Amino acid sequence: MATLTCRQLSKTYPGDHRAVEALDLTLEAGELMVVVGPSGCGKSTLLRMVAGLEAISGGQLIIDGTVANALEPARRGVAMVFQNYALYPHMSVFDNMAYALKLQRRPRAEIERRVHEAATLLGIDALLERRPRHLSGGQRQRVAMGRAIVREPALFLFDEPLSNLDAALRVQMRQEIRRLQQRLGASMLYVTHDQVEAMTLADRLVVMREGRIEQIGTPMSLFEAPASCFVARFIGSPAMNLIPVKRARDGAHLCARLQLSGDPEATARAATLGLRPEHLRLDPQGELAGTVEMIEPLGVDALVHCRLPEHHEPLTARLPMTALAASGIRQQGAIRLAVDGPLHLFDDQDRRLDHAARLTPLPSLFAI
Amino acid sequence: MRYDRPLLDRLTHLLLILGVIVFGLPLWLALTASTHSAGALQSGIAPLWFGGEGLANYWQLLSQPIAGLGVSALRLLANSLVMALGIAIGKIAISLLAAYAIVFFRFPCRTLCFWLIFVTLMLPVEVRIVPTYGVVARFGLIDTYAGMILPLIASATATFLLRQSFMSLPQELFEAARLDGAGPLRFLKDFVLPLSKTNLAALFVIMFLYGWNQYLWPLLAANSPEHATAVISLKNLVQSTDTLPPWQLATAMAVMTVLPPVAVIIAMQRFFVRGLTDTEK
Repeated sequence: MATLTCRQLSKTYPGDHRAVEALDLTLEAGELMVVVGPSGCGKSTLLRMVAGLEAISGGQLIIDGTVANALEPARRGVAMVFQNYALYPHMSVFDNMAYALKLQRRPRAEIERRVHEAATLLGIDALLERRPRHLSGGQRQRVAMGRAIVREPALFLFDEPLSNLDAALRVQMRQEIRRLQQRLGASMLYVTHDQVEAMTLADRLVVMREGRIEQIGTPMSLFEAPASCFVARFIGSPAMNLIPVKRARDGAHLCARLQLSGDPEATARAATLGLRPEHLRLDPQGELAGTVEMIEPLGVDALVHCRLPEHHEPLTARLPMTALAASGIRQQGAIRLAVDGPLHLFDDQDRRLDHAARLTPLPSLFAI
Repeated sequence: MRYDRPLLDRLTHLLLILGVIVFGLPLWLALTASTHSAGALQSGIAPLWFGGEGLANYWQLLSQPIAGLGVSALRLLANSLVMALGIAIGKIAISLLAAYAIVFFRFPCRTLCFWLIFVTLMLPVEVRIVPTYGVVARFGLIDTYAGMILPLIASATATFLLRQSFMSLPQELFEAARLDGAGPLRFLKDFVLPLSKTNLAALFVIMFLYGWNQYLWPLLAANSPEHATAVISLKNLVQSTDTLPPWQLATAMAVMTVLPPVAVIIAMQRFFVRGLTDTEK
C-alpha cells in the first residue's frame, strides 16, 4: 500500500509531440484510481511512466515519498498487469508467478507459499502446472493478476486489463478486481477507455484528454457535475445530449419557442445545454417537441433518438418500453418530452457553468 | 488444402516419385559403386546393385592413410566436424548477440549497424579471398583450425533471421520481465533463448551444412594433410596421374561425407518441424 504523487509530470516525444503535459495527481494509499479517456489521450503513457517503462521528460514522480523518476522499474515496487497479459509462454503458471521472486533470490519455501497463497486467492491453484497457451482468456487474466499479487507491490498498475475478454467475463473480472483491491487494501492505478468499467471500479476517476487532466473526482461527482462538455460526453451511457443554445435579443433560446431562463449570469454565458437521456420523460405537455428518428429497444428501456426543430444534433431519450408502447409513438412520428432532471450549462469554452436554469416555453406566436 | 481429385493425387505422386529418383539416383550409384572392387568399376559401366567389396573398401579408407594425402578418412571427417561445428556455433553465438543488440537496445546508429551487417551478404569469402588470406596469414593462422573457422564465422544471414525471430516476440514480454527485475543478460537467457529454440535449431542445421560443405576456403587455409577436410579429400581421391582413379574409394568417401550432415538434419528435424507448427509465441 503506497501513495503516488505526480508533480508537473510530462512526457514529450521527439518531434515535440506532447503525450502528457504537466500532470498533477495524488493517489491515496489503498485507493483505486481509474484513468479514463479516448485512445491517444496519454493515459497509457502516464501508466508506463509510473511503471518506469517510459522515460520521464519533466516533473516528478513520487512513490511513497521517494522520487522515483530514475529508479529501475523493478525497484519501484510496482507491478503491472498488461492488456494482453504478457504471460511468459514457455513457463508454467507457477514459474510465471514465481519469476520475480526467483530473481529476488527468495528462499524456495517462501516462493512456494506466496505463489500458492495468490493462486488460492484467485482460484487458479489447480492450474499451476499448465502453460499459458492451455488457459482460457479469463484464466490468463487471473494468472497475470497473480503474477502482480505475488510480488506484494506497493502499487498495482493495470493497463486496460479487461479489453481482451468477452462482455460477460469482463463484468465478472471487474467485480473480482474490485473485491481483490478491497481485500488487499492495495493502491491501484487503472487505465481504461471503457467508461462503464471506470464508473464501476473507481474510488476516484481521472478523465484525460490530449495529455491533460480534464477532471478528477468520484464517479458520481463526475456524472452529476461534469466540468466540461468533454467529460459530459464521456461519462454516462448513453452519452449526455449537448445542444447548442441560440442567442436572440431577448435572451437565450433552445428553439424558437423555448427560452432558457433562470440565473441571468447563466443565461448570458451559456453556449451549450446538456441533458442526460435518463432525465427526459414522455409528456404530452412537455416543453421539448421533436420528431422521432429511430427507436432502439434495450429491453426494459428504449433509446429514442429525436430531432428538435432548428437543430442538427440528435436528442436521445431513455424511456421505459411500457410508456413508449402506451403512447403509440413510432418512427418519424412526433414526440413531446419533459425535462425531469438537472440541466447542465457550458460556456463557449465548453466549461461548466454552475448556475441554476430551466427551460420555459414561450406562448405560441399564433396565440398572441 | 485438400482436393478430392484422384487424378490430381496420382499426378502429384508421380511428380514426387520422379523427384525422388532424380535426387536419389546419384546417391544410389555412389552407394553401390562403393561396394565393388576397383576392377569391377573399370569397365566404365556403373553397377546398379551392391558388390561384395563394401566392407573392405570402407575399412581401407578408415584404417589406412589415403594415397596422396597421408591421413585416414577418420582424420578427415574429424577435421570437417571441427570446422563445421566451429562455424555453426560461432555464427550462431555472434549473430545471436548482434541480433539481440539490434532488436532490444536503443543505441545511436542502430539501423545503420544493422544495414552494415546486412551489406556483408554481398561479401562472401569468395569475393574477399585475397585480403582475407592476407590477414589470416599474418596472424599466423594458416594450417590451424582457428584460421579455417574464424574468417567464416560472421553471418549476416543468421543475424537477419534471428532479428526477424526476435522482433516477433511481443514487446510486453520484455517489459513484464523488466518489471519482474530481469536485466538484459537475464532476459536473453530466460526468454530470448528458450523462445527462439526452434529458430536456433534450424539455423544450426543450415550453418552446419554451410561449414561442412566449405571447399574453397579450407583448400587455401589448410595446406597440411593434418587439417584437410573430407570434402577436399574427394578431389584428391579422384586425382591420379598414371593410374585409373580408385572409384570404389572415392564413392565410399563420398558416402561417408554425406552421412554426418544427414545425422545432424535428422537430429534437429523434430525441432524445426515443430517450429513451423508451434504457436507458443
